[in-house]
Amino acid sequence: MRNLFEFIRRYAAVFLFVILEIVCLLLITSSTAYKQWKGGTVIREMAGPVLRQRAKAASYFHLRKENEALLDFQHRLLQQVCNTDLNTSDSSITDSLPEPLQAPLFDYKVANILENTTSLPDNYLILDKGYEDGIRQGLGVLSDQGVVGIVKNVSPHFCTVMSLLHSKFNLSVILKDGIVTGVLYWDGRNHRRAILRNVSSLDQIKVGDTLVTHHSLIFPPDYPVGTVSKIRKEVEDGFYTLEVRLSNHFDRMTQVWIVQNNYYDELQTLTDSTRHE
Amino acid sequence: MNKNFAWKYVWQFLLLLAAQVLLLNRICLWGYLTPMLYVMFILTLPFQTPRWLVVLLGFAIGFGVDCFSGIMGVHAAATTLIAFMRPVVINLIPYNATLEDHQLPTLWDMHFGWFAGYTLLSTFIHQFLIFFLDSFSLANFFHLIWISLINSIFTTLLIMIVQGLFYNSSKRY
Repeated sequence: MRNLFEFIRRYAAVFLFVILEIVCLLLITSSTAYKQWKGGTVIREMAGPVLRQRAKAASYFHLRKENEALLDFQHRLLQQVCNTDLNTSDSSITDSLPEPLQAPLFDYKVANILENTTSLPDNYLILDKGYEDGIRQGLGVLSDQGVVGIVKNVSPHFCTVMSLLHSKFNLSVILKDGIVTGVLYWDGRNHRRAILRNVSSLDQIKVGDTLVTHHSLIFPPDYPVGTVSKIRKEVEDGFYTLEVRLSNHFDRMTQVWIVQNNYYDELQTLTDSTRHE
Repeated sequence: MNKNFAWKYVWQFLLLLAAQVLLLNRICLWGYLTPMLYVMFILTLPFQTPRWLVVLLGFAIGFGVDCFSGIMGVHAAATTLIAFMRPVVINLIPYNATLEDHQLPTLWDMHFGWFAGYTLLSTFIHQFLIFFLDSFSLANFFHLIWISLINSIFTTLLIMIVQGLFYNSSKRY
């Protein structure tokens, strides 16, 4: 027995090291276990206020750029309003629709960014809205400049977002005013650049063309994503690959919108039932 | 180890953790350079500190940084590893003088070259593990090595600057 204690004391550091590393690996690999673990929520709820103060202090440094971006956005909105007025000056069309369909398809909620990474191979954000604000997994996140990501985990007052700068993030996009589509993903190298693959033809594409969101249940259509920066000539399985300069500056955001499709569940069940027939 | 001495490290722990979480985690030069100053806490613990205590403190400060980031366990795992490897790294870098009892592994107590090598090697291991655990693949192996190297050089420079500004030689005690 004494030998056993002696043995444990001599290799205490090794035992401790192995045990702690196993704990760490469990925490990393089983993100679901961490979500279910009560302590995780407690830690996130405790860290939240600190992160919020930090975000508050840091947001002052971006006021100027923020202002410029807002003006730009306002300009875009105004243009849109003008266009809509010209196109549908006749409001009787919308009035005659049944009431549920008069509600806008997408709802937007403003959220502040508490934590935002751009340097990791898989980046994420933490926002100050949680399921008490009606946020749930799978909602889209936009900034005024472009697509940001998708809500991943939700606690009562906070949520984490899988950034577009994440190896598992895929987004279907379409060329603005065009019919060419492709799948956007991030190769983990540069936070200003992403890759567009599965492009069937290069006929209508030139450098500088704008890419926008395609029809999806998560993001509103025609929302800017980026511009084509380079066209790769080589063909992979009959498809072309493009390099895309992202319209969103991921290192300069302080506020984002969480987008909710009001008919998501309805549309999803409809799609599922059609698929399974 | 007297009481004042221990308190000094408690303050250092809290200060470095706060600096890392509130200030340095915001820094992201060219999209991927984030200095990991908090590693300095583990590196500058006295030579005589028991190994299990270094490992435990390494886990503690890494876990502290994790609490304010999205993915739990990444910083804790990396810091626990370099805490465990510390004696190995210390013995690996040759030091051509006898160590005195009061000496600490800091910039002023040791040679410049020794401290630079010691810090660079430790931060490189730390950084590499962080990037590796975040992606959990070696697909971009050379890219991984490259950003770990750049980032560890950056961190080492920052640690040296902080030591140069705020630390004295322990001979004055």
